[in-house]
Amino acid sequence: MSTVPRSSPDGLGADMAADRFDLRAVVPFRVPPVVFYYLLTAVMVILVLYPVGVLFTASVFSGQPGRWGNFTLEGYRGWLAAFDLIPILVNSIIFASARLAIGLVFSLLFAWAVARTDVPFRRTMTILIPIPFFTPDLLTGISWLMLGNPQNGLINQFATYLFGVKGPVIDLYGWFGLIFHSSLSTIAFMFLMLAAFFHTMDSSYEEASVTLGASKYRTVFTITFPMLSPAIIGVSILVFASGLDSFENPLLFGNPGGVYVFANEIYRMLNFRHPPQYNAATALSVILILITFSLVFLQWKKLGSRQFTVISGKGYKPNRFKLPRPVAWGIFAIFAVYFLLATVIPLTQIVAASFFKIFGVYKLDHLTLENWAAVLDDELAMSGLKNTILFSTAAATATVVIGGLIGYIRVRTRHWLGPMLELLAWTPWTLPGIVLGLAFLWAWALPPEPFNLYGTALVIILGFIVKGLPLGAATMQAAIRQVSPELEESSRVHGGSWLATMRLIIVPLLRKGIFASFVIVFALSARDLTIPLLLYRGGTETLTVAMLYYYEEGITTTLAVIAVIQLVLVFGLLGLERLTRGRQVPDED
Amino acid sequence: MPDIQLRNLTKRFGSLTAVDGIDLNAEHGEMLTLLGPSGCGKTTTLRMVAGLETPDEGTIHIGEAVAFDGSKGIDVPAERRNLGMVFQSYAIWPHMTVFENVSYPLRMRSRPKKEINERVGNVLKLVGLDGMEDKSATKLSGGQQQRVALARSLVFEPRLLLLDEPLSNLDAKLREHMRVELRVMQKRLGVTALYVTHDQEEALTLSDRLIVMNQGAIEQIGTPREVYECPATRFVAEFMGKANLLDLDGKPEALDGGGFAVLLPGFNGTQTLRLGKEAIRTNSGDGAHCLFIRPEKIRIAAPGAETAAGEAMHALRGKVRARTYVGDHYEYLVAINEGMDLRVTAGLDEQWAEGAEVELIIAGKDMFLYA
Ligand SMILES: Nc1ncnc2c1ncn2[C@@H]1O[C@H](COP(=O)(O)OP(=O)(O)O)[C@@H](O)[C@H]1O
Ligand SMILES: [Mg+2]
Repeated sequence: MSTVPRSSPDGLGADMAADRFDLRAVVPFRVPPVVFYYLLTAVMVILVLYPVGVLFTASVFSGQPGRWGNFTLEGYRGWLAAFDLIPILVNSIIFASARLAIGLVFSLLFAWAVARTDVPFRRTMTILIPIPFFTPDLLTGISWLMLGNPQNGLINQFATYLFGVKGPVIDLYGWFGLIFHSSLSTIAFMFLMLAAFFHTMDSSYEEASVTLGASKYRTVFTITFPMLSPAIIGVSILVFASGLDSFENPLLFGNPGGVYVFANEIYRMLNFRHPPQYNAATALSVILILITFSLVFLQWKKLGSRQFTVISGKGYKPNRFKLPRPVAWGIFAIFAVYFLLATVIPLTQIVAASFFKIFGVYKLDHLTLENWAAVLDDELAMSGLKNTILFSTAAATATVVIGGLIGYIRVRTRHWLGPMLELLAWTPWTLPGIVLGLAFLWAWALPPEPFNLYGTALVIILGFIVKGLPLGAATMQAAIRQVSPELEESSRVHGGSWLATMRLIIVPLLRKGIFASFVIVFALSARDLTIPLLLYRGGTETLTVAMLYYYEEGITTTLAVIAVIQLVLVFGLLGLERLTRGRQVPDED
Repeated sequence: MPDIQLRNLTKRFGSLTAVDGIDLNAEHGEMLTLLGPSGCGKTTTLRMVAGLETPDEGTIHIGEAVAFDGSKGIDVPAERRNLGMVFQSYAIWPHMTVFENVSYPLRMRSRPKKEINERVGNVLKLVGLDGMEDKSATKLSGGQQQRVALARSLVFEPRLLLLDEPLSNLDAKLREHMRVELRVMQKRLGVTALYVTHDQEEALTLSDRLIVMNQGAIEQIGTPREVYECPATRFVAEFMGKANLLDLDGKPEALDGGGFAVLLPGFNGTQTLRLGKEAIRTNSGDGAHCLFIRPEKIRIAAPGAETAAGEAMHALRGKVRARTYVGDHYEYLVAINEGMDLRVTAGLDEQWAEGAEVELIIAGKDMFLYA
């Protein structure tokens, strides 16, 4: 013992051993962790299943939120017996299919070009193509309508002014605008999902095909696409389902053109009928849930949860096809037009509108900050801004915590509630926003005080949490999976309590995942219209609600300022997240 | 008082019994090794001692205290068992520096800053990482990570050190070097160590005593020499090092005076070995028997050397089938009959040509019979 280089001639080591470990130190009663699993499950059931259950029940009652009324099948009978459902269903299918078809053509072209060929500026393309997915449809939609509405759309005004054209040259109300605009973000979304698959595909299969004498272009259709077909089909089903879910586009483009699909029809039943047709709207919502649920279930079986595969930083270098220059530049030109239509035009237009005195009169001497100053004094806008930040932050925080706990139980334990919780977190994926809003309206107007959340800020926050859970929880789970359990166990063994381990080891190791999850849910919440639209009361309106209000009132300058604020909010955070995450685009070769 | 006492320790995962009612003691200052093939329950045993896995049955005593006793509802949480552990993956926290990693156990015990600095400095010197305090953990080589893990588990001078295959992720050269260092360090600190490995060479060189496990149960406990030279079971005999295991046709015949006669076929008729009853390493005398001899316990001699071999020695006749040069010795394959080969290691001084008729001389105490 004499050679031991220990610092404690006083035998401190032995002391430490003694006071840290004796029988009295045993905590007599420890709450078994299982109790927390059940608590969490209860919370999830209340958050997710309870509103859906109430919605199903409410669909056979004649009342309105807060009052059941009498049992009736009138809601369903109205839709089914009078064949009123048929035009809605047909319109919805046309809309979802058209959007999917266009999205498929362009996203496949872009994903293939960027990942497998030597198309110029492919790195730039990879970064720019997904942007429309992150710009809220409400915002770009309004921007496009400022340009292309038949009465005073800027394009039409210019046409009249410059060429003396009588009548509108472009009319975005109705089918054309609806499909045109919703395809723009669909392409972005599908590209985002598919590019990862194209990137990770082993190029030797393609090379083998070329070696065997197939042309490059034939190879694309005989090898590349078929090999990726499970992914492509999976993503397609998802996009089709989200077409049924889409609310902003049908509201902005469909309503004025008389095109009604599920989402805006439900909203019409509630807002444009006197009295509001709760029974009919609720029944229609249930029908929609059943459809989207089956579609998403189908998609789940096809793709599992692989749809969240993000492009990893792995330096995987596919062997790229050399395209003839005209073809390569042709593809680039298509991208340029897409980028112009989907991003440059709508964003420039909305930013410009926020800085000019009169909408559409873009003369230099009309440049002003008055619009911005006015918004600072505008009660609705300011309360909207405050609420959006507040609600989104609260929802994102709560989702990170809930998602983290679920992910933890799923990844680290073998408890049977793990898969249950994961499934519960997934369920809102099948719930269109408008349906979720209606379900919350019913569910939280029902309980007695103090649990009656009707008209409170909390109910909107809960709605955002539920909407954000699928992505938020999946992100947390993926992050937790990457942390070896031994890192935590090592802390416990070396004296770290549960709390210390959480604070010093788990949270720091997960901080990237936590931040990513927070940003995703924040962005989803900040751009969401459906939930606050159905659930707000005076004082709890969000930026999106304010935006829609000013759009409907035709106060374009204020609207533009609010839109820019929202854009800054969402993109600022996304940019921050991207910076902290580091490079996400695969290496150039 | 042993530092660790496990009694009837059992752990099941569903229908699989990973650890099947094991009993063991580790004496103070001892290096005790759990050895066995992958999946035999070594890690699970270690994790139960650490408090990372809850046993289904049995008790764990650490020193005088009960750490686990299911029937009394005692389960001291891992952080209160006050033991050091080196994980197979090292489990170095990537978001901390070397200092932060190593000082963690002391910080968790709220030791004064001065003491922490001093102890971390000393322990880093001990593992040969002095001056590396501020290095980020992610910038360490495998060997350095291993040392940091060791330093972290020693810095608070625990009574007990648990190591789970701590050398398996190092390259061969470093592994051999660390093996020696680990042993020297453990003896110097006088810490009791429970060491898990599947590498029998490591176990033999490191341990004071070793425990051979198979399918969740203990096959043998003993000093390395005992286990190597007198394997308690056929499993241990096969698992530890090179072995000749000859399957016998019939049962050994009991002789007057308690011995056994083992009949082996040979080129010139049956050969007989007369073994004492201590050679029988199985309870039942039934079933297929096999004879166990270590290759290095066999000496090759010219035919007719039998008489010179002395009383306690035995001889078998055979033909050299193959000879392989292995650097510091030869390895021979000697057939004692068609299809019945024995491996023999022999020095370089004598050479036996292939096809040569030879006599194999074996001491009676080096042969065992297993069921
Ligand atoms: N958490 C667990 N759940 C289910 N089975 C496990 C778990 N941990 C270990 N096992 C199983 O228990 C057996 C013993 O594992 P382990 O103790 O890790 O073996 P060793 O360390 O000896 O290789 C193995 O069959 C292993 O698959
Ligand atoms: Mg192991």
